[in-house]
Amino acid sequence: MLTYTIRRLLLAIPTLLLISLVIFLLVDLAPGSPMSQIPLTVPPDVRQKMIEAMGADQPVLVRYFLWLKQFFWVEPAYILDGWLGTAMAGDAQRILSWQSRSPVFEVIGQRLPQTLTVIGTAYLVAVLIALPIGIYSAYRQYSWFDQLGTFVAMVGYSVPTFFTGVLLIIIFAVNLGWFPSIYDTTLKVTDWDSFWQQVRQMAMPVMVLALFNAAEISRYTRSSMLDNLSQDYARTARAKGMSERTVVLKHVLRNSLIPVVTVIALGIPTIFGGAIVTEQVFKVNGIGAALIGAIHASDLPMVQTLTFIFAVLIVLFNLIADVLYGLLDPRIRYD
Amino acid sequence: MTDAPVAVTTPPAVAVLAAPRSLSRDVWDQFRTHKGAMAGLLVLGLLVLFVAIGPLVWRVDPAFVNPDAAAMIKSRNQPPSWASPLGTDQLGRDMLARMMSGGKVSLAVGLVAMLISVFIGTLIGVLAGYFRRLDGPLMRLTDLFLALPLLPLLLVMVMLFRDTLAGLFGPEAGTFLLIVFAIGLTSWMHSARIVRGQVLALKEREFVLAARSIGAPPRRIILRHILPNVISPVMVAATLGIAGAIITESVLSFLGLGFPPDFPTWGRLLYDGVDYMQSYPERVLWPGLAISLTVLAVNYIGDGLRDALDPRIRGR
Repeated sequence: MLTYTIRRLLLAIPTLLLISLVIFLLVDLAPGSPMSQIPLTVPPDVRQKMIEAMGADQPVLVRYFLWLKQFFWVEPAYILDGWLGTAMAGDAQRILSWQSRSPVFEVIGQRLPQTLTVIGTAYLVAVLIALPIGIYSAYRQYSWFDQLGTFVAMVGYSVPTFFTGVLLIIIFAVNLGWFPSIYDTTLKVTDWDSFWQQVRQMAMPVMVLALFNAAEISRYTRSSMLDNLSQDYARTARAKGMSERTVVLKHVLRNSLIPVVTVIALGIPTIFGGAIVTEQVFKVNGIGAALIGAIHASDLPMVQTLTFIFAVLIVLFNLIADVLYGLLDPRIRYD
Repeated sequence: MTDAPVAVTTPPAVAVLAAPRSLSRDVWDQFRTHKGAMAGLLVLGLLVLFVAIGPLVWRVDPAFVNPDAAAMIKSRNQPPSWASPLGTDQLGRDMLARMMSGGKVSLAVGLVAMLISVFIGTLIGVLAGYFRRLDGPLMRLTDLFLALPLLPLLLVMVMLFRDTLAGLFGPEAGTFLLIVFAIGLTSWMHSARIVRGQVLALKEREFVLAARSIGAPPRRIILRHILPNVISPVMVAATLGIAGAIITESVLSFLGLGFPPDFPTWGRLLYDGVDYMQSYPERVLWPGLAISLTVLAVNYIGDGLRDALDPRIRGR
């Protein structure tokens, strides 16, 4: 198991390096970069100074390695300094946002909690809804519950989140007035009153994200349960005289959850991507909104860093899914 | 369920009397039994009719803004009436006409992006499956693409290349090409994997060996013997690809990084409607409903097609 994990970890490093190169080059070599957008009225010497100040006169490779060093060495050092009170980073140059001139990671640090609260709750809710529905649908295949569940899953999977979000706003915020349509990120939970307010403002974004993800997870749970319910060991367990409850919830469910767990792990980076849309709909001030804002403002360091963080998340959760699969299913490990 | 297929699938010994059934006939018969898929086909057909025939019947220019300022202000935000069945928008443009022209672009983007993605996917899948030397590098490339954060990258691509392409081909064709190629280039991985798996299995079959032993070059083997046999999984992937492409395009438009407002798609119409959704919720509902129905219909058709093209399910 250890060699399997180490092999997976080592494979992740070149992948990450290649992705970072792709992102860096795409942003850097594109014709629409802000270097080409300095107004023509700016005199040439000033223009030259501006380019130098942004470090854009260096060769591409030099800038790429500097960026890598900043991302993998300087920024973690600053984070550790912040936690431990050491001075490992000294006063090395950090990645600065062109919009606000403040370090990109500080902005991300401010934005991340919002995203994580909404996304984390949504994903938890999605899993909690999807598993029972998937299990029961498979157990009573072709019953009315299964038909309904499959249909709702198909709808939840097909209807884009920006439409469900807008629909919920129209129904619950505009017509019924139950929930606020705009997420207030400055709200601090201090007592029951503000806690209730927080729950109300989180209700709609969480519902939207949870519906979309629950649809996918319940489809997987259902098909995985169906595969296992018709296996010989399920028949054996029944033949031994075990109760239905034990057969389904112990024997079959445990084996069916193996692929579902990996799907859940693999879905986490996607949900971050989906959060970009949801944050835009409900005006949640998270990292997705930061990315959109940075794109509209042509803030390249911010865009590069955020995109790369999304890539790191994907690679990380792929890794976690692989390791989990190996841990749960010994046949996968081949060591 | 467990013992039924044996009885049904074995043909009677005197089957020579009946005319041989073609594959497409079998597939169609199986497809017809899938209620969701038939409903999807109907809905999609109606939507295609709406965007294709609609403009011929409803001859209102979707981009028409009344040049007379007073008349323009009067014609803004009209409720539904006989003159404009879905009302007018904040500039007095007819919503029905805009829905039709927007749908045309949305469906066209879905179709063309799917074609690009399936073409790249099949090409890479066949090359990786057939030539062992290319398998490693091409599959690593596929893994790399699967690990890319696609939505952020698409947004970045649109931001960086939009103005240049709009300058080269004009705003409409430029945006169309950019979005179609961006979506195509970021969604070919699944079809590549499916095709590679199929090709790997097919390559070892006797008919390929026979073709090779009579000296057929790889190009001929691939085009004549392998490609026709991978067409069914590719068709399913292509159908689901249309739905994915339409959603991606509308997400881009919804984030303000898709088509310009004077060349709308359903996603762009929805984005434009969001600002007015408190007073005129129908302006959000119609485009959103159209996107959702299209995607739902296409997904159901894909489901039905998968069942119909699967020989283990067909004929049961």
